[in-house]
Amino acid sequence: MKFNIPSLNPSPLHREGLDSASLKMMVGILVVLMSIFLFALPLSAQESTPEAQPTRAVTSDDVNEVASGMFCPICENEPLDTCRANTCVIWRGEIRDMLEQGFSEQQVVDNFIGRFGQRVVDVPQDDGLRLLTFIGPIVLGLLALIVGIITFSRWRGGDVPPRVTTTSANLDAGNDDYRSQLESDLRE
Amino acid sequence: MLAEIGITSTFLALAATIYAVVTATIGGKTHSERLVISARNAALATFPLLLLACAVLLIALIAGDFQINYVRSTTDPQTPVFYRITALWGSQEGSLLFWSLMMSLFSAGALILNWHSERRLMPYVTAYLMAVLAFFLVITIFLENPFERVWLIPQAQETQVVDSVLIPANAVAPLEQNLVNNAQGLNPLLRHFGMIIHPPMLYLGFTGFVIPFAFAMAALASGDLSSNWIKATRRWALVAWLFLGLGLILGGRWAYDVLGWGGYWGWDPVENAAFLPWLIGTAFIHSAMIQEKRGMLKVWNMFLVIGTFSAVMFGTFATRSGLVESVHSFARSQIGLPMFLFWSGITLVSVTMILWRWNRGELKDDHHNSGILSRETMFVLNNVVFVALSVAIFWGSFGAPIISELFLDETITLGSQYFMRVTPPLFAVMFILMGIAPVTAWGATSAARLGSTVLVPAVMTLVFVALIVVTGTTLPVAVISYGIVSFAGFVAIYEIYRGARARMRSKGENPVVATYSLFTRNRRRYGGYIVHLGITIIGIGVIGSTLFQTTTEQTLNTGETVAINEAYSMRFDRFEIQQATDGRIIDRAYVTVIKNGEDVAQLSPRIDQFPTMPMTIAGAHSTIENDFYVLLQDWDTDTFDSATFTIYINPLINLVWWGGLILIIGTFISAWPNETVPANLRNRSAIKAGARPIGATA
Repeated sequence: MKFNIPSLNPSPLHREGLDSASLKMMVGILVVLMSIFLFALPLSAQESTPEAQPTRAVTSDDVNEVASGMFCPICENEPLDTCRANTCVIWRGEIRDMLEQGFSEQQVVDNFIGRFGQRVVDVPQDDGLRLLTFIGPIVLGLLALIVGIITFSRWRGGDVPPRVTTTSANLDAGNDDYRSQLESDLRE
Repeated sequence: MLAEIGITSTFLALAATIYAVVTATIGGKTHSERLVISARNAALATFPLLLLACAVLLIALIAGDFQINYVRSTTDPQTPVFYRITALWGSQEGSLLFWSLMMSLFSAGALILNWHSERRLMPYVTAYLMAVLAFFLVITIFLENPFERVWLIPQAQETQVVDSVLIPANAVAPLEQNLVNNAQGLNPLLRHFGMIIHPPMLYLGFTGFVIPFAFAMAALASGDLSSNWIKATRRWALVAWLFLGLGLILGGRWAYDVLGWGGYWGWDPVENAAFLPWLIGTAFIHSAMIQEKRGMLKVWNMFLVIGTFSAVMFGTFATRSGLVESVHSFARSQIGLPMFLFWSGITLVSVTMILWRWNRGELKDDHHNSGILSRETMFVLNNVVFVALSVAIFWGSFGAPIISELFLDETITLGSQYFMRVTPPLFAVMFILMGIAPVTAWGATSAARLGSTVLVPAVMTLVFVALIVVTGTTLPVAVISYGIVSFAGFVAIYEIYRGARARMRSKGENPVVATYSLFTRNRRRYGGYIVHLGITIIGIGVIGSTLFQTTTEQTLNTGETVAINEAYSMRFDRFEIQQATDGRIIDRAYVTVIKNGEDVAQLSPRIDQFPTMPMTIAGAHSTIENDFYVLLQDWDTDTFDSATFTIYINPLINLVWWGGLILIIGTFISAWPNETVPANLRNRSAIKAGARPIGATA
């Protein structure tokens, strides 16, 4: 079976329909929307870097702060700070001990990763896995962007209906009379 | 006897589905009216048959027929009747049967309500609906049969214990007392009021999307690729979307009340699996309007409706196969492979059919877009955002973990840190479009006109944001988020106001009558505004409870008070151990919530000790402003004079539930039929419009 998928190259008709300013604006809107998405990732990824901390009194809230970014090793997808399994109670105890010994939060997390692997944290710390984690939605988002642009490009060609200028004609096709009346009433 | 009735009726339902698939397909191809009607009747028969099967299982649960394995695994003699009823969907086997019942209910509804108006499509619709139902009945009967019983076969050396649906040769039933002793009772997590309606709502949502899917596939199979299938399924899609949304909200409430982690959404893979079809379905509901009104986006809509159903099937597979584990998922079972094959097969076939019709040039759009600033453009952008959200959530829940495990030999699980980085920007864009799209005209509009339309809502938003800042909320991300979200709500409110005012002026109606008339004249548009308003309120609740949640874990002695923030403090009063009538031990603490120095509430957070697991039940003091939410964590088991609590203050969290209620009301308004036409007039108008029965000559 041979599929004739529409070409990415615009037809002459498409080119006639493509107003460059409009196309730029259209692409611009999409790029801005996607940029918000893309820029948010590195910005939000700028978490505090680990630093050695002096020995201190550790509260349960300090322990839960670290544990909230980790998972229970037994109950899949259960955050460590809320899980009631005995293993989690022991792990939280270990976190408390490490914090009391002066470990930074990152050092505590690294310690657990070293012993149990990347599955204990809710975002991988390994560079390669981190890249995989965040590159996937970016690549797929860009694909969606391309599909959107192609859709717009295809739309802009062909039998373009005349551009309507009157207020009432711009309104919902299924409700023209009513909306026309509504608009005229509002103008009064 | 009960089991025999259930087995027989389920098997007859399967036979009816297979008969319906075969006769509907042949009838559709040969234009045989007789066969098509026969197929429809067989399809309609599946509902009463499955209703009987479910009723039988329900009777077995209530009566305590513990020889049936399902009854023994989900109830025990102490289980209250209330939870015996909810046990019908409390485990894999029963929920699959219940799922099939829901699907047959939707199928019967579509076959009855759309039979005359979409006659050309109906043979194929029947075949697709029944094919999907047949698959679920096959796995119910042959792999996860809820009527399976335990039998004893006495042998020379020792008695053999056998699980079997049918009675094995020489088998006898075990002693009643032995069966009772082995009864396990319902999973404690499911012993909550929300579990009465949360699963049925989700199942109704999931199974409801089979109707748009079947109509889309029927359109592809029959070649009737006009917008008829879209018009026929709009309300079905809305109803399914409503139930799925309701199921998600109720699930959030259940998690908040029962799971004991202070929140309502944990980005759990199974939660996400239910959220994905809702997101894609939302995109479909919007883009379907473009096809209906402008004859555009035909290919895209096909992909969306198939994507929605594919997401439903994938979510079902992920939940029930053991692919992921969570508090929501069923135990690992043998239905994983069949479900995977069905999901992948149905998706592959559907996509192939779209490409086939597309290749033949039969899915060309009737119109092309004439302006960048048009509602079509906004809806396409909205679709891009919804699909991007779906992709990002799918990737985090399944894509990255599966790829990492398969190709990098490293198990990873992505949690809230991933989702809270990736999704908020997309939700922000969604809210912006939610504000702009409804006031953008079809075809084209000018920037000046669009600007003048959104001017008043924009000013209202600025005033609202200023009020927020003046009242003390200065966190930039919160102020911006509130502004973006509230803009969408103000647009909805202003559009309703404008419409009502126009009617008051032109018709002389009072405000109530004008607003009522507005909604009755265009339920879809104004119901949609109510839905947007509901989403806005949910959004404000989510922002407040996410960005400003206060949490602390404190150990208190009896009579000791701890300050939580400037306004709130909590005093630990006493601790008690109680025994409930159903046998569970209840460890309960009594605390007093103090606000600005005054006692405002007495709460009793507790832990219910079931034989299988403990259940943490929060104590909560709810106001529109916030929830004061307390969990009992630990206590001194010798003296009982000290206890450890996790205390949350969740600002605006109740707006999530109230917004959900408004969303439901709005969807009801949108989906409600505009007028009721008697059946005989519908038939007459269909004949006038040129419709003819299958097999009739032109």
